[in-house]
Amino acid sequence: MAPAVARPRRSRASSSLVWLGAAAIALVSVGYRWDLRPPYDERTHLQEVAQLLSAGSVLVTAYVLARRQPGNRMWVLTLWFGLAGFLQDFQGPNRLLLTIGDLAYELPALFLVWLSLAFPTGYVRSRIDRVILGWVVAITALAACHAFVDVAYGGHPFEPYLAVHGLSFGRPELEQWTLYLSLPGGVIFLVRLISKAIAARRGARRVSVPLLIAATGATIWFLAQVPFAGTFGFSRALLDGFFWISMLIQCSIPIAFASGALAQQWNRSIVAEMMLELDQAPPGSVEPALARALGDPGLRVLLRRPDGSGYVRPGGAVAPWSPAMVAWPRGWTRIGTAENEVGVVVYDAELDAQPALVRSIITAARFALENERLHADLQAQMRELRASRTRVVDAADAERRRIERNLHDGVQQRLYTVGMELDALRHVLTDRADPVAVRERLEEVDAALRTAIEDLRDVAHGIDPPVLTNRGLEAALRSRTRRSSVPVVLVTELAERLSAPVETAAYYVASEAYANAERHADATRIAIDLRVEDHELVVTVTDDGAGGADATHGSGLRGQVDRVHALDGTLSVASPPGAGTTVIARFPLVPVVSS
Amino acid sequence: MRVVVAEDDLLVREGVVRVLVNAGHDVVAAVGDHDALISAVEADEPDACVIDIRMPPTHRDEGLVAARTIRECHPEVAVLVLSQFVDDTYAEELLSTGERSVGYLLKDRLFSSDELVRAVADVAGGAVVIDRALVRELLERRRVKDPLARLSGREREVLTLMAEGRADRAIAAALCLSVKTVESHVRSILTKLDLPDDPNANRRVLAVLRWLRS
Repeated sequence: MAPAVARPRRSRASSSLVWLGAAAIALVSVGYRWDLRPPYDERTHLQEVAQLLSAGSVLVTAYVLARRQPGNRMWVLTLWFGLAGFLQDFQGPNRLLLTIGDLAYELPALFLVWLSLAFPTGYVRSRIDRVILGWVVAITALAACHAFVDVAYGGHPFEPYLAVHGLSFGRPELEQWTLYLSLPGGVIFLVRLISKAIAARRGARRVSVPLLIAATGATIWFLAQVPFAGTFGFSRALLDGFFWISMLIQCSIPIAFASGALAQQWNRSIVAEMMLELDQAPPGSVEPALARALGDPGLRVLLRRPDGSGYVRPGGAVAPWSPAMVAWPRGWTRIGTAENEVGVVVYDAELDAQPALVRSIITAARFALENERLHADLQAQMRELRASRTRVVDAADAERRRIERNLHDGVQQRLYTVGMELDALRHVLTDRADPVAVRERLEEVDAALRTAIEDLRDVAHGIDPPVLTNRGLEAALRSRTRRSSVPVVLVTELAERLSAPVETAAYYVASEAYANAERHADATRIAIDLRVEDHELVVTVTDDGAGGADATHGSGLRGQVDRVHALDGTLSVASPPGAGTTVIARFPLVPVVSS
Repeated sequence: MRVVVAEDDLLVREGVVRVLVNAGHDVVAAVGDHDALISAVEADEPDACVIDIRMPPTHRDEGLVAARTIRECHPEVAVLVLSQFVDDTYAEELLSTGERSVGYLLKDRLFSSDELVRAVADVAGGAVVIDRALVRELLERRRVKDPLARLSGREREVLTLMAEGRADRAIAAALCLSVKTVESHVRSILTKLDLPDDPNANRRVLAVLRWLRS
């Protein structure tokens, strides 16, 4: 979605409370662990300090994130990850704190997974990611059962509040089950992370790579524990090794974020580079420049046409677009304002995590985009013109074919008949036959000639009705509809003759609409209305037939659309099923100098 | 002779049928489109077909398509195509199907029933018949190039009749000359145009036409 959407700001007081609470938990954890650890905890002081520092660094990262990108949920997840590190270590004699610590037993793993999957937008959107997260939630819930284990079973010297006595399992079993459950989940998570990291290198996601690498390392480390867990026990050196690896990973989170931020700095230098590149760029180069600058090869620019009729691609191809057509993992943002929209940019939704970057790049390219838009619109107009011209030529060709056919199959055939009759007549005369036979032949010749003349007249009339030229639109339409099988009401309010192109176009639109109504619509009445309104000729043809006509397909009306457009007119067809058809054509009138 | 007539225009069809019947032929079928024509040829085994070049549904060259089908599947049936087009493309397509029993006649010849009847008889007899208007057009087109200028007026008349598909005897009759004179004209023409003197009249026609078209 548009990154420009403002989110309600958290009040200052409540956000301060959040950080105070976090600091308190960290302090309790620090104070609590000193010499109050359970006896099996064999960590050295150095290790403890390292652990506190790494958990603390995560908290600091969360704080910095919250300040710099308060709109992004990532800081919440980071905060929880840091806190979980502290909470998990509440393992001392205080029963309340121990209960909390037990409940939070696998919380760090949960938030690490969540954090990795949600990076960098803060949302876990894909189905597979949600399944993985659900799996880890289940593991965390199982681990939280530590809070129900009593002292008698499993070697912990202290007992949490929620301990249930007489359970048939204790800490070792719980740990074992948890780890075994983690195995398949961890493998899937790992595969997912690696595939994400690979995909990230391909596209705009250079920001997410460090974190993904860190999380991948963490998971490998976690999985490596499984074979040694539970009953096998660990050697001291191995435990130490694991410990330091885990520290490294915790610290890698802030490093990952920091390198992400570095990547953003890098991006900013790309803004400057892009502006230089766009300075003298030929039309069509803005989209690739934006794609390079944002690191998203799939980035698309759609430019709003100045007349508001829709969007075009930079090359001028008309592109239907609406916000509803953009679905995650694609996002979009508007160029310009809602009132004065230049266009939209559609890109990888991951870029929504960097609204400032997207905005600054698009703003930097704004003027180039404005030029691009005018150029694209011009291209689009030329395409339309070209298409229209092709249609006009096609229509003319079709018309020529029709005339050729009418001449060859009509008139010429009739003349052949005349010739054959004359030939037959010659034979009759040679035989000195009776006058009746001669008259019969002559009648045939006469009939064939009459038909030929009628055919010829029809063909000529089809090319250009003389009555239109000689007597005008109204007379031509009256003549056209005189032999109609459906009653026609012709209403005209035309005071004078109009220009020849308008009359011809109006005549053909009206006769086409009339012919459709008469032939196909099952109408009982057809009304043709001609009037001049606001320097426009308005031709309306209405019928009460079946409706459902489609102006764009198969109808002869489509051929008339270009005729109307050529005169800067408009043609509209309303044909709801069962409610008749109304065709309205409007032609702007230019004053004619009367001769 | 058993004849099938294919022509979509009812009046013209009736006229053609009448002419052929008056000439003593047996019109076994009179049809109006491509498919009906093919079925009639299959069913009635005629000696010859008279086919209108334009027929439904597209009114382009269904007649020619049918003629080629008939020439392929029933080479024993003579085919005379009636056309309103003075265009050697169609004639050439038709002639490419074989060197016997085929003709391309303009519908203008319907004005003289004798010509139609003679053309049907000629193709049924194995001859190649080309409408004289077409030949004239080819000759006129060739006139700009020179070899024809070397022909005498009489030779040109003979050449026209040769191209129409007439045999020496028929040419002699048409020009009121002796067969011997015609033969010498023909030899002279063939020499001047550098064409082989083929005793097969039809092949000679084709050679002449090919030369005219080249």
